[in-house]
Amino acid sequence: MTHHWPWWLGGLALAGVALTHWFVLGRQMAVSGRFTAIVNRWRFGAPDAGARALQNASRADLLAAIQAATHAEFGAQEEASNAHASSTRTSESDGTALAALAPSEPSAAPVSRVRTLAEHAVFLGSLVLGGLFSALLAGSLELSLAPSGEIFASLFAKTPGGGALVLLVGGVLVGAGTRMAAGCTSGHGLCGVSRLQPGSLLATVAFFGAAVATAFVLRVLS
Amino acid sequence: MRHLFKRSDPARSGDHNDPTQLACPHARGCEMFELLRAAGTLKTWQIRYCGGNYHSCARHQMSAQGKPVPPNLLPSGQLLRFAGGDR
Amino acid sequence: MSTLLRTSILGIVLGFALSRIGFSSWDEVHRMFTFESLRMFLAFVVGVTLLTLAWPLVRRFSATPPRWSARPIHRGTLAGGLLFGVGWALSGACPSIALVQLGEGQAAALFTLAGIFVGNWLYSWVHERYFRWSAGSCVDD
Repeated sequence: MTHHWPWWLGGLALAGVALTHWFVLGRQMAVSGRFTAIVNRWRFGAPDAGARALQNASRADLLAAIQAATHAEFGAQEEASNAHASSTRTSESDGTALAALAPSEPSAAPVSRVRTLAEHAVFLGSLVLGGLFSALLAGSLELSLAPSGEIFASLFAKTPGGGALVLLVGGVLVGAGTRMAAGCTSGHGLCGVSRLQPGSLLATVAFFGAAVATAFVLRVLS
Repeated sequence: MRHLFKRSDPARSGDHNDPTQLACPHARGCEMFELLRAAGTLKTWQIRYCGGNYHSCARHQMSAQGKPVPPNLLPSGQLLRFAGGDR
Repeated sequence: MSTLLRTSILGIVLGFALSRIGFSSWDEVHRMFTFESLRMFLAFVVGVTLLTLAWPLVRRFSATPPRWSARPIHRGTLAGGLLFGVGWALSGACPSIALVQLGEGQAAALFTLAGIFVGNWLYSWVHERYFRWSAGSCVDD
């Protein structure tokens, strides 16, 4: 029987990893979003090359591109109205805000970096490695084809293929549900709830509630 | 309680026809919005795309379809292009 | 340090922690949901509590104000959460766990993983076809 961490160590670890994720990767930790990104790449193709150019654009190029686009959309009237507006508003809106964003760096765009498919694949693959190291440490590394767990086995392993079917169906619900709710236990449960985000609070209550109810139903059925 | 929800209706506190009112529920987090604001050209875009007819914004449309929104997508549906070429 | 290397380190650390805590064990997760064992639930509560205290400090001491995406309630929040909860109780796995289980040698997690991709894809198709609402922002991966 594998020895697991006590509750306080687990809590420390969860918070620690979430914080580390922010400091090291510059984003809130959210795993289901990576699955979504992979499926999006598959369904909708690679992001437009201009997305990367946007990240790397210099201040001057950025301003020029935006002004060109604005002119194309609204015509010359835009420049006149902007000139008027600039003189009556704060410096925030006359282009110097761009300078304030990144005075010395070539990239001036205040946009999130679009992550590559490789990054997502590496993260997911690294989760596998994490599990591997954990099992090695606990001495419980064991390639098992049958779904693990005594309770699981007593519930589903009686019918051949029953266990696999439950995992598959459960997985489909997890995949669909996390995309629909736009988050999972890491994104909503840990990061969203701790930031008191309304969507995360509702989603977390919903998924914990549903999980508890389902678990009791399984127990009753067994 | 309503502030918990995405604002899907026009700004409660202002005149719906006031072109400077932000009706689009995404405006606060929209990166293109910030980009245009930083470049000083926000107002005309905002009037056309972030007010009452925000449904015409290409970014909002893609997001509502569950598609990834290209960071360089303008509300008009055009993509921002750079003089130096795509690096 | 390259982005890929940093990404990998985070993935390993997260996977390791989830496994050590017990989230990759179907039985342990089931015990959590039936309140037979409060250990993992407590770990979750402690983690959230620590983060609730930490984020404002992070914001306060950040050189530039961090931009964290809003997570408002939208039309998919409740239904999606419920679906996910049922799936989690059935499979014992949330998305990251399926991968951690693979690392531990639980080959059956391949079914879970396949299901997650299929489910995500299916929902994407359904939403594009029949739904018109966004999850709250246009910033995406």
